[in-house]
Amino acid sequence: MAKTLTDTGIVRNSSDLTLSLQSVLRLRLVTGFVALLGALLFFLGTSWDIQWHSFVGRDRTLIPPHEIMLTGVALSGIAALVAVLIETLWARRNVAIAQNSTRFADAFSSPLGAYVVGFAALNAALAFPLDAYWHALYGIDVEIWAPFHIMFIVGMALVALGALYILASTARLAERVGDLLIKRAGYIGAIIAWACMLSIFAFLLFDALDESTFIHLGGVTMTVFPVLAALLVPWVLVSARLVVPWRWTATSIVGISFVLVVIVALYVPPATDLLVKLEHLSYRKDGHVGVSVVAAEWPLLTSLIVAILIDVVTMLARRRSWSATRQSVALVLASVIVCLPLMPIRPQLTLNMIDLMGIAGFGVSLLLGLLGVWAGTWFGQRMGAAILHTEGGV
Amino acid sequence: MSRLFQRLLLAVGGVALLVLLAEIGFSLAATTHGSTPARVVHVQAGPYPLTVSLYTYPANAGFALPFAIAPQQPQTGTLTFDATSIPGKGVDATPIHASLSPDAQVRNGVQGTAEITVKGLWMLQVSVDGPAGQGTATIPVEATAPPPLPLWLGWAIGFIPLAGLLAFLLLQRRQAVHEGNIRALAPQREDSQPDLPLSDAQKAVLQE
Repeated sequence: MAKTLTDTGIVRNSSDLTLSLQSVLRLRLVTGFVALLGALLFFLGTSWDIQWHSFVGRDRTLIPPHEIMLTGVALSGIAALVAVLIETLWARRNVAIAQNSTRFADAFSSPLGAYVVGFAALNAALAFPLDAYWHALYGIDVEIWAPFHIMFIVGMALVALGALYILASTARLAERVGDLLIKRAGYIGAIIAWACMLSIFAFLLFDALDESTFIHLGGVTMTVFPVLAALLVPWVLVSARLVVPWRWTATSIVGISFVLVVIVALYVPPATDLLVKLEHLSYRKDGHVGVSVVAAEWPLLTSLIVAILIDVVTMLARRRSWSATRQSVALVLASVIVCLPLMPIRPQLTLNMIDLMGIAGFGVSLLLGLLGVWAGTWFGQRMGAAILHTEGGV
Repeated sequence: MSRLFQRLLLAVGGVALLVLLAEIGFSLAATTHGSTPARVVHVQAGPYPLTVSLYTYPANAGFALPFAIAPQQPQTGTLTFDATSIPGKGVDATPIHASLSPDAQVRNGVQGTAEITVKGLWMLQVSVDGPAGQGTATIPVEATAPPPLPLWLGWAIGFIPLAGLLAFLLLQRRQAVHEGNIRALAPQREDSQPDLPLSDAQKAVLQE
């Protein structure tokens, strides 16, 4: 699509075009960062909410953790709506902008990521009252695997996905017009958005390690943790590594996700204590816990090793001009270790799970995990390739 | 993605937005005090006879229940109130502190909202403190919810964004293949120039 920038014969006024492209780049950068901020707020709010549900209970609808989550939803949704409307207006006046946007329903022109952010935020906003309705019917719960929790979490992970699409395509477009500052900001934002998406999706892994979710089939007990982690981590890291032309992209993403977890570990326990006092509440039967559940039970410690291996494999592949097949096989092998669960508070978790499920059950779970690694790598490669060809691509 | 599907998606988005706005409006309306209470209860809280007015009855589970408390007889001195909604036996919920503010129309009266999160029987516990001492009264409150959504339908709705993500990724894959995009998997320079760099003349035009 970007060929229209350079080869277009319809540009009559180069100054106008420069102004328009600079404006578009700035608009997209701001939209991407605001959507990213929304997703980050959701991650921080949800981490607090999990603590609240676990140790206090689900009380008022608008408790501060919920307010933080909803602020994130509103921010991202409004940012997407405004960006789509503004760029649609601009695209009607400037063909170059129209040709560097994605058309939707014959009415709108905007970056693809802005549509994703808009629909995802709308979905998340609907999930909240549906979840309140679900609680009204079935009572409070402390499980993440509930229909509208999944709808809410996946919705906001998709907001982060949309943000990274916007930011990566903005970086690519800025690169083509030689705006190095916006290019750098775009790629940095995209890396943070990938980390945020990884972190939000990781909420769905917690319950997979709970014994109550184990699958009993034909005398074999299995867990879906390996397959879920294996779909998630390679998908995120491989796609990022293909798009961002920086050496330690995958490692940076996991590093940033760890920083987010550390922030959660630092703010959630004191914030929960403070809120319990302010609301004149008391802790439930489990009592006061001075550590963040999300931080203590973060199940993706092995993703750091996977990230380093993916970065190294990609560097080697590029230096030595590996074939696509060889590169894919190497990426799959590099990601296999993510199937093994490892938590900060339970470093022996893998051994515990073997004990609980038996060697056969754990082996079957790992085999499913291998399939997940293959699928995750495949999706990551394809998504990376697609991002390279969105609005800013060639 | 076909144009028809895009228009369908747009229509679904528009309807979803309207539903969301209606839901926000309904939630806001649920917390406002109407002019006529739906139920009035006279209770004795220690030495204080009180009138408790509930503006929605039965309460809507998942929404705030607006209520007002007023002394039945004029009181000398100031009364301070506290209220908590407590789930009855078998209701899977936790006690929730109600928010209260002085009622400008009634001396020593308050109005507030009590959160009733789960359907079933609840108790609105009112505590009062004043010159004659302390007292507590409990008002039973029935909370109802809309007809239950079948479990399978709940899960089907909950999985919509995951299905959307899968569809998006598959469409992206088709687009990548369609555009002959295998280059992304091939060697790429680190911190490289754009794959198809602009000429100096082109850049000059763009940055003039």
